[in-house]
Amino acid sequence: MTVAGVEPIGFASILHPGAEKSRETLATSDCFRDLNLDAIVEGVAALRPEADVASHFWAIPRDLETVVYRQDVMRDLESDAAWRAADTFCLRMRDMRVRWPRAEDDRVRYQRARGLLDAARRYVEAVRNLARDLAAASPASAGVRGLRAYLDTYLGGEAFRALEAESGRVADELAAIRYVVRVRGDRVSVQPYTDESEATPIVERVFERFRGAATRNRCEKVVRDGGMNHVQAQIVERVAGLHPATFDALEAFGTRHDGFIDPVLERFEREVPFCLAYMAYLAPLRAAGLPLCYPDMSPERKDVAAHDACDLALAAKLVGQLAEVVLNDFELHGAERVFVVTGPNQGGKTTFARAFGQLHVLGALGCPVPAREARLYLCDRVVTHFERVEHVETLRGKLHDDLVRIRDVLDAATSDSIFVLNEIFSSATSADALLLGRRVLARISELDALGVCVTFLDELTTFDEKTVSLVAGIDPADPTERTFRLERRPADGLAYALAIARKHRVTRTHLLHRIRS
Amino acid sequence: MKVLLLSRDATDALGSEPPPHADDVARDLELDTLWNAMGGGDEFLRDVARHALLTATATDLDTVRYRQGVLGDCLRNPGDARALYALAVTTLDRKRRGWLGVLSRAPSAVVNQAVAHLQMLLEMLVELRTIADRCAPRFSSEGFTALFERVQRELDDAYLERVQAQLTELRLRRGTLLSARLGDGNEGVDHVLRRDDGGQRAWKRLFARLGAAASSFRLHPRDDAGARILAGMVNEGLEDVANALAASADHVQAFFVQLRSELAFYVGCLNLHDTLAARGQATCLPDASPAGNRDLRFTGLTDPCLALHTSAAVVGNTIEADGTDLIVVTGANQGGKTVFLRSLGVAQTMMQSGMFVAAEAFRSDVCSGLFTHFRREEDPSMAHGKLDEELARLSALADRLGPDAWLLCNESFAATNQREGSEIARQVVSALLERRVRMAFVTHLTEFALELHQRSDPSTLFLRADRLQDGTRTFHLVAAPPLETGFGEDVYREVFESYRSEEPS
Repeated sequence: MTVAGVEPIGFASILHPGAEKSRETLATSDCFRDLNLDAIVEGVAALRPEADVASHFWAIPRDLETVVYRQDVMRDLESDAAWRAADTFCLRMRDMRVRWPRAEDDRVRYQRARGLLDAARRYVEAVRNLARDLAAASPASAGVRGLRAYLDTYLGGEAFRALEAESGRVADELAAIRYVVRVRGDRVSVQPYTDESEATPIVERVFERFRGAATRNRCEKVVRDGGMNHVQAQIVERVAGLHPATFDALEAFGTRHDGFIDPVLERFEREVPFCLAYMAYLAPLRAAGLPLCYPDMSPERKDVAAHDACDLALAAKLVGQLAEVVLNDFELHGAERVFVVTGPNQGGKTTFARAFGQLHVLGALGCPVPAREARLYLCDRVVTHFERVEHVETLRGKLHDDLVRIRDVLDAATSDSIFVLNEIFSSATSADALLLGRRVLARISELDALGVCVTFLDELTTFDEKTVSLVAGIDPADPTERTFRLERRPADGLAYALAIARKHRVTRTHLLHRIRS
Repeated sequence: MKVLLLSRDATDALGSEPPPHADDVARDLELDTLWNAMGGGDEFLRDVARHALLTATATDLDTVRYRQGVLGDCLRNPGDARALYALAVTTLDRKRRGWLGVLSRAPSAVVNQAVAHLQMLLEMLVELRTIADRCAPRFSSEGFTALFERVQRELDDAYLERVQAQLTELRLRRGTLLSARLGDGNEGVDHVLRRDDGGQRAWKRLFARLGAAASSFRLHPRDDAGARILAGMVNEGLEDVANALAASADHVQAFFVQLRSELAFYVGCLNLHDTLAARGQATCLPDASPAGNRDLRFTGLTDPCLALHTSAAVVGNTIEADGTDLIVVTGANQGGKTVFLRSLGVAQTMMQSGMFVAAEAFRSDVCSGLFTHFRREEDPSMAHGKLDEELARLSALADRLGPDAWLLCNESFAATNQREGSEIARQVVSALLERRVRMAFVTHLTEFALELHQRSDPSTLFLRADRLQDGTRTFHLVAAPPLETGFGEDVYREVFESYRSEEPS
């Protein structure tokens, strides 16, 4: 019902400042799958199955203003009061839509008008409560404050006031009607209500003296097929005959108020579930003590850092299993651009790579990220290359496949991109892998792009001044125990393998002793 | 309306769970023989008897006496007691036969079923009134007198007529009258069955009908969908009343269920009484005294389970053991020691469940719990050593023993040698006595028995299973100190000394 020019304030969206749509990049499906963001999207979307939450994940803002706008909105929604206000609004709007008349309602008299009346009552309540609840939550963000101001003006408008007053009046009159139906075989009569006594209390009184412990209800709950039917329609017709004035007022209401949903509020109803669901997804993690923060996003500085970060999808799973979540730090200084990660298998290398990528995607979406504090780069895209097990026919074929994918990744990337490369060329010979790995790192270095590269090649950890070596840690007391923490130090070489060999007494010395000459 | 034949105030007198050690007690005292006799082939009677005996020691003295009164009435009027029981059984049978497998959960069906059920129950209530009117003058116990009074007061003619009128109205012969409101989408909601007291408001409704002539309509005969919708509406309106009716039927039914359960105990008693009487076995209502009195005296006490097993006359024991905390039974094997121990345990259990006992006279105070610790001859499930098993069982009992409990020990701690067994027995017995646990201890641990005897503690009674000079067993226990040695020892010495004497020195 908003008409151009009468809009009180520039508020249009909870996810985008200004009326214009923000600059966005569309995420690739490879990236979401490789970084386990798919699991996060699925988990978040499942909390709001009725809203299209997933689509908001694919459209990643490119400008800092939007990111900051969203971060502020999200901060507001962290308050219980604001979260509940928005949540209740969505719930009521959904309830409202259930009541909205359908085409077939035109066939039965009063039906369309009644549907509009029922919907209007819920709409009025939804909007009124949203305004009241948001005011009580005293929001600080430009987004939510904009919405509040918008609501104030809207509620004061003539159209809303008329809708509220008329729907209330007609609904009250209808609710006051009581009638009596006598059913005898196939004959139904509708009569005015004259305070006949209820049968149930009489039965209970008669058998009072035998009363014992409460018993389970014997009847199955009568489930009503919702909606109008021809029997009920005939009853309504006769009830209307008993109360003509009320039903005339109902029809008049239906003609006057036909399309009352405000488009700006409708957009809010569509967009806010993204924030609500994400908050709800974080709630158990927050309760489990996982550190979360709004990252300091910058489109310029590439000296990214995070303290106590983790893979959010893995954390959600581990918290669900009451298992401990291992947190990691990373930090780049000056010209450093690429983490090259080496260390034992199952030591947390891939998890670290995913966490690095996830933080940048989630941060760009304006969402809180799993870290105590973080300084992140607002990139144009996160490009990923993870080893694929499927489609392996020949080693040569696989290497070829890998190279094609790497080429696509490199082609798509710019100096504003972030790379996440996991175990590239692991099936190639070491010489080949080293050669190709160097080529790829050289290209990234040339772009001056940020990235993580997980590899089994120690040589890559000292590629150039932009490379930083991270090593997946092991517990010195028991070399088979992994710490899942990554340490910034030179690659270990064979130290780990020797420790394992000692444990199993298969070192040279052990074997010389054990095998009789 | 309550039955209250087993207790003055507890409606679930049979509701308590048997204690964890009840199975051991039942096994050691061979109580299943008793239950079988009380059941007389009826599973239900047997179950009630079983439960009453397994929970016997949870009954307080007041309740014991209350039940003795009711049982006395039953013993004097066995025909009436059985007739009352038969009424309850018939009621439950008719319900079972009439409604087997045809239960529907739709409200209109539930109303029909409940009305029919209540109609049947009403007939049985009328019958109950008749029995009560007939029996009231002949019965004198507190329990029966109060029950018959309740029946006569609460099931008076006016009430029975009111119930009949209500049931007739609920057959809904003149259609279903529902009040309703319009809910969302103009759908009728809150359908509630209204009382169709046509007479009073007929003129009002007639007036209303004249005002709105078109206020009724008829479904097309082939409109099945419409009929279903209508039925749904009626069902919605009937839901509350259907649940209320079904609950009422259940409650009335529950009265008969309770009546059957409580009378089943007394009918079981009658069964056992008849059987024992047929075998010439004396029974009496025992004289129960308050816990801690340390009363124990009886005449001709027998083990009814043994009497039920054998056709030969069973020898009863007569003992005066007032003031004793510990009874030590020694003597020859197969001299009736175990039977005595059982007769004592069974009598105590029967007394505390409110039953008669198998004796000419029996007086004892009620105990807080009855425990048995019998030597297990063979236990195939036994995973560890015998003494280990024995002590584990004792340890399990120890958590539940308390002052004024009875512990019956049958050759406990015999799984090891005399010295060790005696030492354990000494420690156990002295500790339990200090905790005011009463014990009867059948033992071959001579060292232990002799030592106890030397203490000459007046609260310890020594009984001995005796043999006549010619070796004939009497099965009588007499108050006598433990003998220096068992007869086995004699034989042993005899054999070995003669062997030694033959040895060349």
